[in-house]
Amino acid sequence: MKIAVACEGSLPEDSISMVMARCASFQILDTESGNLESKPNLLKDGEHGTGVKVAQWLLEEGVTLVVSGKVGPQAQKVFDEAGMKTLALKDGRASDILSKLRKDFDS
Amino acid sequence: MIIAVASGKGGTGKTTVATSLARIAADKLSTDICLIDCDVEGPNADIYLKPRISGTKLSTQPVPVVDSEACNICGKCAEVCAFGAIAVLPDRVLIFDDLCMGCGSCVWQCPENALSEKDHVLGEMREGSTSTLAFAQGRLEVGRSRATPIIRNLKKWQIRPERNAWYILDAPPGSACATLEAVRDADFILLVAEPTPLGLHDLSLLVGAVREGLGTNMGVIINRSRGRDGPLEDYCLREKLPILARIEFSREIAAAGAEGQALDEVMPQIRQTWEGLLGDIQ
Ligand code: SF4
Ligand code: SF4
Repeated sequence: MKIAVACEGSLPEDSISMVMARCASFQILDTESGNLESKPNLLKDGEHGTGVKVAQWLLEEGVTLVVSGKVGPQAQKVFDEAGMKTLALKDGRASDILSKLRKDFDS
Repeated sequence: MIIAVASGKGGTGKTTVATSLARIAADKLSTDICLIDCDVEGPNADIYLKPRISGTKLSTQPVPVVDSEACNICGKCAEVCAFGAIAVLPDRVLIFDDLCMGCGSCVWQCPENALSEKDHVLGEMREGSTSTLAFAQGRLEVGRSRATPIIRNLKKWQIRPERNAWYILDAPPGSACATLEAVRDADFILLVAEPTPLGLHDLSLLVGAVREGLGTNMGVIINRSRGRDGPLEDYCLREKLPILARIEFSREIAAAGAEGQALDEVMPQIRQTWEGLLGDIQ
């Protein structure tokens, strides 16, 4: 599976973003290969429908779990309908969150 | 002439001012006066004016619908929609009617001709009159989140050059899209503000948004004035915003408002203020 953590900065050490669609980057971990990618969120300053656009992008990236502080109602609808999972966390660094989630899935 | 009455936050007495000003304008001026209640999320100007409604009209906007038989999930429609109103899932297309701006791009560009347009109801518009003035109002359909298109439709319906009237618009509170849409083509904006820190903060946001986007002339009406409104007055001076009227704080006004009485009925001396103000704007 692919886990995306919405992140305040561009590095895995940066903290989780409180608003999914407005994050600076997504730290995307492929749990099978162990490959970690940082993808800048080029849509974050959009005026209209940003949540849906970001959700569509993550769907196309093959993400199956989205971790952030909060997901807007429209993006949530896209995730739900596409069968993608979401997880809301209040704080933490992206790298810590990913290693913890990875352990959970491995065990 | 279009005069918009706006406020940075709700509950400042904006509708009280707009409706009373419209009543006095109808008495004093020889042109027709039309009050348009653009506060479509909570329209209530009818409570003060008690108009007789003579016509209603649905406010609609075209939105795409997908023919799932014809659609092959190519993703083009989501790609072309600048408003993020479409998501293409692995097995179907999801359309967010409330985000759609009705631009039609997706319908044009779908390679399979799988999209067509249907009318999406945004809300209802009504028109009518009192014994002295014309009245119109828009009301957003329950559950709809975007007020801007219905305000645009309402103004297009009512503001017609051949009518040769003065329009007084009761704008939605705030400083977001809906408020700016309501005040967009006004000749003058009356800002109703309260002398509280929060009132000042919201007023400054609205003034900033108008200056940046429209550049319309503005003046301030201080409601619930306590005589000395220090920080608010300083702000107006600094920003070169004329203070056009002060409505003093009184329990009677609040009580009358709750019962739907017009401001000039409870506070007859306001007539002079409005007459002076109309003269200045003229
Ligand atoms: S563009 Fe047309 S065919 Fe392609 S996904 Fe959209 S509706 Fe379906
Ligand atoms: S009509 Fe325009 S705004 Fe509406 S879904 Fe199609 S492309 Fe998007």
